[in-house]
Amino acid sequence: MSSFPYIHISCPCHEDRPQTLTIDSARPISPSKSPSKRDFNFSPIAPNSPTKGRSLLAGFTPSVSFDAGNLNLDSDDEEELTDEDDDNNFDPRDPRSAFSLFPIENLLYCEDCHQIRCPRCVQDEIVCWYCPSCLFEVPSSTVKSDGNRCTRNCYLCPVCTALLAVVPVHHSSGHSSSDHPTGPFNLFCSHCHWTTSDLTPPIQLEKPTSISAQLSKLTHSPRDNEFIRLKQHYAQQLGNAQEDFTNSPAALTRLMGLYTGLGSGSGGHGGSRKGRGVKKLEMKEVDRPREVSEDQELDIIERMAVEGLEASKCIVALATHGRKKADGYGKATTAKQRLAQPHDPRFLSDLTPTAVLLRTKRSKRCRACRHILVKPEAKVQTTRFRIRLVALNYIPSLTIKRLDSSITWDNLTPHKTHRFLLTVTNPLFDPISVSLLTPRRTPGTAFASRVTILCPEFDVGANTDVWDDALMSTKPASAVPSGVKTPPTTGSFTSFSKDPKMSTVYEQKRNYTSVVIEVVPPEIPDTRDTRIRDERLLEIPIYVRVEFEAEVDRDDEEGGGGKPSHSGASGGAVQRERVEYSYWCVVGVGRVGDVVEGVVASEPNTPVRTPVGTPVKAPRTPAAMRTPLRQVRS
Amino acid sequence: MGPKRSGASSASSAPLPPLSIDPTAVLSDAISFSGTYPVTIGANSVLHPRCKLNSTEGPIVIGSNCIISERTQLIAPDIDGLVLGNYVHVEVNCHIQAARIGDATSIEVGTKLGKGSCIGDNCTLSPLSTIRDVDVLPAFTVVYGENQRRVDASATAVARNETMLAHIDCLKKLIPNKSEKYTR
Ligand SMILES: [Zn+2]
Ligand SMILES: [Zn+2]
Ligand SMILES: [Zn+2]
Ligand SMILES: [Zn+2]
Repeated sequence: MSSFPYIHISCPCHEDRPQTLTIDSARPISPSKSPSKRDFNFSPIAPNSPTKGRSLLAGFTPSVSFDAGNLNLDSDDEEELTDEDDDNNFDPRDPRSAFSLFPIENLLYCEDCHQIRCPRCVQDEIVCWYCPSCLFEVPSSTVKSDGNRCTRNCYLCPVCTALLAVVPVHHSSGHSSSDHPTGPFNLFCSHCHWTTSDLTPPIQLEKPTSISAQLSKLTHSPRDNEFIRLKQHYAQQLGNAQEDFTNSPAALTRLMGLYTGLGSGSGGHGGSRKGRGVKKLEMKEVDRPREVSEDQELDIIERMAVEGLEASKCIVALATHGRKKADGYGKATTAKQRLAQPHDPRFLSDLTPTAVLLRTKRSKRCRACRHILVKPEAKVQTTRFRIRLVALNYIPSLTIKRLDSSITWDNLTPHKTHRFLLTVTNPLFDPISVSLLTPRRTPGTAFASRVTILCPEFDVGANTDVWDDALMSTKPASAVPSGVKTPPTTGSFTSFSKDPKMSTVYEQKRNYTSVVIEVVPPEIPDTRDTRIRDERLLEIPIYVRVEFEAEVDRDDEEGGGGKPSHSGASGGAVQRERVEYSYWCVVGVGRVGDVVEGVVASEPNTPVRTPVGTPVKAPRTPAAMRTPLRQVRS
Repeated sequence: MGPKRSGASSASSAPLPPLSIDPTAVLSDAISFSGTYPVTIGANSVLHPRCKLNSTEGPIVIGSNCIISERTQLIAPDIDGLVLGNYVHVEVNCHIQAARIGDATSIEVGTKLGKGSCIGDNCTLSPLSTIRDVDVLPAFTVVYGENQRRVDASATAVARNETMLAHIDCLKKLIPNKSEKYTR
């Protein structure tokens, strides 16, 4: 559980419904009446408008209920709307949601699909294999033949997993001899001081180099023989098929056939491979069970008994003398240590150094369009990237702060109005207008909290150079303190800021704008002991819709799609186009605490509340969408 | 109790405790002494800047060839005091309230030693380990990972003492010795 507050963004791959931009598929319209105005409230494409829909959640149209007084709707639609809305709101408590919610730092962005891409909807491709300790690249052919561990001199301590160092067994005092240390050598853990001499029998190396070769001779166990035997058996079985079983689809079908019996000539797809012996396709498993040597087992039992005896002695000694070696059962391995080693060691003295696991550098592709989103530099030593399209550079990011420092995130007071500051930061070089929509009551729970965003529609300035801001400082300050009703005047996009809806913005700076969000949690019983899910966890889904005008190249246009030609509109070389996209995010505000005496359920006291008459959410009508908002920078 | 040594030009106006510093020890600037019980610092030991020695409850004795690092606090737990053996290396940001620390023990970054605990000789406490109050750590104990313990059988103690000496030699060149400031 991450600490509060956190903001997770829902990747569009959460929604597996077919992506259509028509409202009808998302919200059923009663057959008795034709689609009314509200059905187009969120439609990003108005006919004949040069709008390019980049809806990240197209087909997943949000419908959000607002205070009735602020709704710009026909009154007879209201109840119906509220009922339907619950189905379309993003429910952070839905078990499916957990798989698509990521912090923005974990998300990528596909420039071609214009969509967020999460780890689930990108495809990893291995660029190179390397050892994290010696930073040597390992060719993939070597990985296939020799396994996924470093075959050079990198070994980890089996007790504490720190890197082992080679040290001479006999310490030669005197500084001159340190240039040419003489063997034998130990592997020594400088963290927990484990050495290979602690083993029974102790492992001591003759040379300080080519450790892998020396160790493989010294630590050869019966398990290795067993593995070699199994490998030989299955190699023989797969045998005459000398093809690579890993990649080609034909080989995969064949491999499946081996087990299901389909491969032996029967079935439709067996026909094509009659050339090589059909009989050989029947797989024989190794029928011999693992051999257990009775002597070995007895030996282990005896050693354990001795350990137990020593342990009990030690406990007595510890009680009487105080200072006595107390390692009794401490000589046995832990389950973790046993699992980490292939030969199942029962005692610490059986543990062998483990070679360092190789790491990979991966490039990531968009699963939908196969474009590369992340491509690291192939050289192991560099940490640079050739391509790295992180969502943080494309998606306005949200942060939340307490407006009142007396709020404790993990102990919100029921019935009290908590005010938070929601800040939207714009990474783009164009000013954006943002709509934040949230269900009035948090969905998916019987204990819904009341949520109000005081100014759900506002503009955020472009992510211009910091110096631009400094140079424009002669103009009026763009920050609007709380409660001041004067619209902010920022030089870059005056056409937006004349809007009265900007009046309740809490703060507006260069490329971020802050608005106030009010949360009134109800009284919620503590369910952590009785149920899996924590009802007191307060998560607010917010639908973020962004519109801006972007410069577009003509090549970048989506082909076809009934786009009206508007190239004559701007005339110049630079095309500006209205772009919109949207996504759901979930704000983990905190946990609701116990009821506090004296705080009773009431209407939230909101001194900076929007005046009655000003719609909290002014739904855009198609006509509004058509109004020319195109700006051509001179 | 203890003579007042207000002549010291250290930043703190409080009087220094009675100090007995070996002439070969290196004390850097800005070491904070507090308390009234005597503090003894052995030969060839190095105290980094901003380490704190608190002898309010009892005396502090630091053996020879020790290194006490920055922001580390040595607090005498009681009247019997805190005694560090020889070749003790206390790393940065430790909180030491132990009664005894044995010879050639290495206490790494951010370790907390509980009040009155006893650390044996040749012990190693890995970073951020914690020892409870009045706990006794036998000689050659290694505390690693999540406060797990094992016995050090590596026989590297001699080598580590040599490394300590080399370390101290290097520090003596780097740290300006201000011990006369505290003994005046
Ligand atoms: Zn794509
Ligand atoms: Zn995804
Ligand atoms: Zn390596
Ligand atoms: Zn180790």
